[in-house]
Amino acid sequence: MLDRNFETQSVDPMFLEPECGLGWYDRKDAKLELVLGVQSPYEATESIAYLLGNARAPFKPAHINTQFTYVGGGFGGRDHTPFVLYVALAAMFFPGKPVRLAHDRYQQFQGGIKRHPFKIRSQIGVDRVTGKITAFAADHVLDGGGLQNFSPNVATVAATAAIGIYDVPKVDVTTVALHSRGVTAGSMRGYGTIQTMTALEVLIDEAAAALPLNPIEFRRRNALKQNGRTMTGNPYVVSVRTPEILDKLEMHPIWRQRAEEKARLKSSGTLVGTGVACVTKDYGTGADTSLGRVELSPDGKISIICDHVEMGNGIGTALANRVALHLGGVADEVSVARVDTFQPLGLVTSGDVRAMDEKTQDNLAKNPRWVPEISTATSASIGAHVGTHAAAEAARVIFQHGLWPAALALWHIPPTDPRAKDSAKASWKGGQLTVAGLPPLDLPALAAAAYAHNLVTGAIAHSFCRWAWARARFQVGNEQHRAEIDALAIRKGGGAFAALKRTSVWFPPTDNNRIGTAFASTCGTLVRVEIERASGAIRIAKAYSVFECGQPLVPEVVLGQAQGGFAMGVGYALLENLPPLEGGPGNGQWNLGQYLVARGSDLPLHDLEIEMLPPLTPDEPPKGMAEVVMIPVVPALLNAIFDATGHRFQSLPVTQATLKGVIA
Amino acid sequence: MTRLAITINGRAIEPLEVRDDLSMNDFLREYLGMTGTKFGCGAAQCLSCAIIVDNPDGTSYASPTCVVPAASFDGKAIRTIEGHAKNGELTALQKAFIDHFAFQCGYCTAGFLNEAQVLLERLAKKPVARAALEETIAEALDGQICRCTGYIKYHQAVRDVILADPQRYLA
Repeated sequence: MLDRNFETQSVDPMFLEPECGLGWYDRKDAKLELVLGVQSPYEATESIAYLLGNARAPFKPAHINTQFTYVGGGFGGRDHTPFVLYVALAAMFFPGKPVRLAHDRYQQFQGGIKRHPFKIRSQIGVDRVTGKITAFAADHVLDGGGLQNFSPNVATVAATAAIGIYDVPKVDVTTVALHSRGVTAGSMRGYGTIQTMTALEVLIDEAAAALPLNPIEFRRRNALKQNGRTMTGNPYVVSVRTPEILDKLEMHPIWRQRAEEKARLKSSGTLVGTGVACVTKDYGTGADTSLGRVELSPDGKISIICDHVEMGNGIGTALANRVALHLGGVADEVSVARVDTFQPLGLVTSGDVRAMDEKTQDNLAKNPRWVPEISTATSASIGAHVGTHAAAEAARVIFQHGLWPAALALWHIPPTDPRAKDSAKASWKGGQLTVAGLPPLDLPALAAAAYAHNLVTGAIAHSFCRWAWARARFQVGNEQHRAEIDALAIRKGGGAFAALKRTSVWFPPTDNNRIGTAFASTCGTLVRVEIERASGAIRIAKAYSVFECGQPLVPEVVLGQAQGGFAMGVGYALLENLPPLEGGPGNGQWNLGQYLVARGSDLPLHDLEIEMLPPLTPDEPPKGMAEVVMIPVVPALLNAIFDATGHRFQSLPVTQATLKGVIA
Repeated sequence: MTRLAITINGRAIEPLEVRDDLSMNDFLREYLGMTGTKFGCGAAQCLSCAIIVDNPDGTSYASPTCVVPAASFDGKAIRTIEGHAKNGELTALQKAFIDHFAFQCGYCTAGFLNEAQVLLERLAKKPVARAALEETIAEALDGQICRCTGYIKYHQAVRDVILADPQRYLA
């Protein structure tokens, strides 16, 4: 049995664009105009409306029009940020004047949302004979800072991630988020799990060494398999590929050559160490939505509008690629972070999506315009899986009820012909719709025909996911359209959008709210470090990360996220640190001269290998991966440092100065 | 107040009276509406705000704008992100950035592009050995901070542009 304490530090998301916003209030029309950049547009509009809703005249606007922009990075720190409230207030206090509120970097460090620091006590019991983990217990204490932000949620997600990739028969985790005088902590990439899984993977390494057992073999013996039950009692409903990832790690030259490399540089005053870690990170929050609007012009141009936010996550490109699978062409226009263009659906919502019982949901669902949530934040690595889903389904409607019947018309195939049912046999090749034995048709010709025959040329869809997609049927002309959406509006030819009546709606059971998580992706990382004995300077000589993400919508963006996650992991492990209270960022004195993030020279720019496992099947849905790729980097580095120095650090960050202190 | 005469992207700007403490970043963004140059830290640490300054001898260097007064650029010729493409035709470096998916949120991109362009111009005058190329790029770009990408694709994009024209850039 091992009983260990681990501490993590406060860090800043350090998105490069400091928070800013514009506002102006016209007292005559009582109209408040805002331009904001957040990860959660719909929540921001609701918050501002709530803020000003009970104000007295002349401080109560009759109308609030908020436009949302692309943002220069988010990493969680722009989800549920109070900054937007200050922009709205500033505009209200200076009626008739344009107001700009913009943090400089000192203010961003001072007022921006931070990652929660954790104090973690972990206890693990392992059977020496079998090498199996018999029990795990942990106590987490989070410092939430001065304002309650996402602390309860971060604490919960952290706790359900506390056993990482493992299948442990007895687990007891207590998690408490405390209010303090510190800077406010909220959402940040990793969302509590980077803290708990770093502590866990360092502990696992120590346990393997104590047995002794090869650390990858120890992980393999204890890894949760497909259909195994997570800590909260449910299995993941997506692929679990931990064994495959562990095999990849074990076979990699960084791992296999670790002893030779250690010996090779022994006489040079350089300490060499190799570390491994493997984690699984959930994606989705258990109540996620997307809104998508796709339109086709008479000449075949595609436009997409989505409520999710582009902040460097590549959702604009992912939307275009996913819609192209259905419509055969990459969109000419993609507009994101929009909450103002889906009115034809006439959506309404009520009740607490995370707390309602089944009977309440069934009753509410009788209203065909009711959905459990209207629009949720771009967070929790859901960009690919959820963010693009509604637009993809809207595109499918256009194909099925617009382009396909247009193709039949151009091929002179009547609806009674058996081939009219063969839409599934059609495929897009080089921008042309092809079916064996029929002449290929290009998108402009199909679009023109869809307009000429007054077929579907635009669709707006809403989707809801509670560890499963809501689904419903809609009557489109003479056909029933069944899809994983809960609201649909269509446009025929050049007409106006009209909502369709949904029937047979199925919402995922409210009992799913009791699941910790059901979607997760796995990533393993190997790192080799070289530490200069005299100075404590550490260099990451080589690294390898291998992960799974289902079907990647934009492989280049997935690769970029993995490389960026690696860099952010290095910063968290070795560089970034905000001290608590008086010496910390609340004093308004912090900037990048003092707060160090990873630069190119901190990284193995030419020796970082990223391997993305191919999807299990061609139709495996995309899985969230933007967070999981960051997490194992941190414990792998700590484990490599142990291998090099013999010192097992139990707090972050491990800086050059702390390293020098233990190896001097 | 200082009277500021400056040439930006080959065009002489009508001289303007500016406050002595006005930063070049504010001058570009607020006076001229040239918002391609970003503000990241205000402490010359991230270099999202970097522009190119052209010396009279034909050499160039990258300069932060956030901590440098606009007045100090009086009489100088500078280039900003808005000046790279000519008649809508992107430069080789811009194309390489796009081909590599080098940027994600894009906030640091103007700084990277300017710094990399300065490197190309330096190498065109003083080529570097192939064996020293990666290190040369790494040193040139190490002042820029990117929080999204992990830097690798930026470096690969710059390297590709150089390797595509070895006679020009490599010794």
